[in-house]
Amino acid sequence: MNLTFKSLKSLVLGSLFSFGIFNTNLLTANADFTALTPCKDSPAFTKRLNSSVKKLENRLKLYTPDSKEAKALEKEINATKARFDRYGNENLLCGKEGLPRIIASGQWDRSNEFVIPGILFLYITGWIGWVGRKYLRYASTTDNAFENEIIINVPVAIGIMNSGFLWPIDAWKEFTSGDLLASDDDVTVSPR
Amino acid sequence: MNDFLKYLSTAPVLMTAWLSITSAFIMFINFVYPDPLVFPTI
Repeated sequence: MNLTFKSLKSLVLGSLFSFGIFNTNLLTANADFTALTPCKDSPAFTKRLNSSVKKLENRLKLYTPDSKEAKALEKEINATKARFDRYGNENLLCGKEGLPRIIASGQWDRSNEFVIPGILFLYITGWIGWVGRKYLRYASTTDNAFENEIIINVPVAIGIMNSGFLWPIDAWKEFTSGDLLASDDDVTVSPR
Repeated sequence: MNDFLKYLSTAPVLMTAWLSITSAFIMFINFVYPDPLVFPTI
């Protein structure tokens, strides 16, 4: 498909517009999760905690108290109890085997499980990609572009890395001004 | 000295240094805030 910048822009804006129009009347879908129980009320979850702590306590008996190994095991017992405590307090849902589930449906009351980490991931990887592209575009303007791609100009690179925190705005500005995408004339195509 | 700094700016050296810093940072975050599963609710 031969996409020009103008058709791509209208495709993106058109799909955003129609998504907004056709989704305003929908209620948020909150699935029932009858097969899952809150982890703090789940007997299987508590059983897992008790068996993990029991195993560590059995190992602890093999060492003299106050030894390095005993202290490390006590630290691990505390960390295990803290982990199960935190998973229980964070209102996670567990299956009948006692393991927590991430609900990735996008519902807002469980947004901390998938939506927020997902957005954070996209922001971080977008930052990395955007500043990498910016450095490459800078390198292509230098006298020796090839060398600047393998022997990095560190002061310039650090400056560019620090400027990446507003990358969604920069990317949108470049998209609307036509600078984000190369024109079709610059893209080589195999002979037809 | 300039040649040495240029060597330190080569891609493999910078990648080793940068990934070492990044992995140390991630290990430190997991040491201070262990076993993360979900984004913490405030």
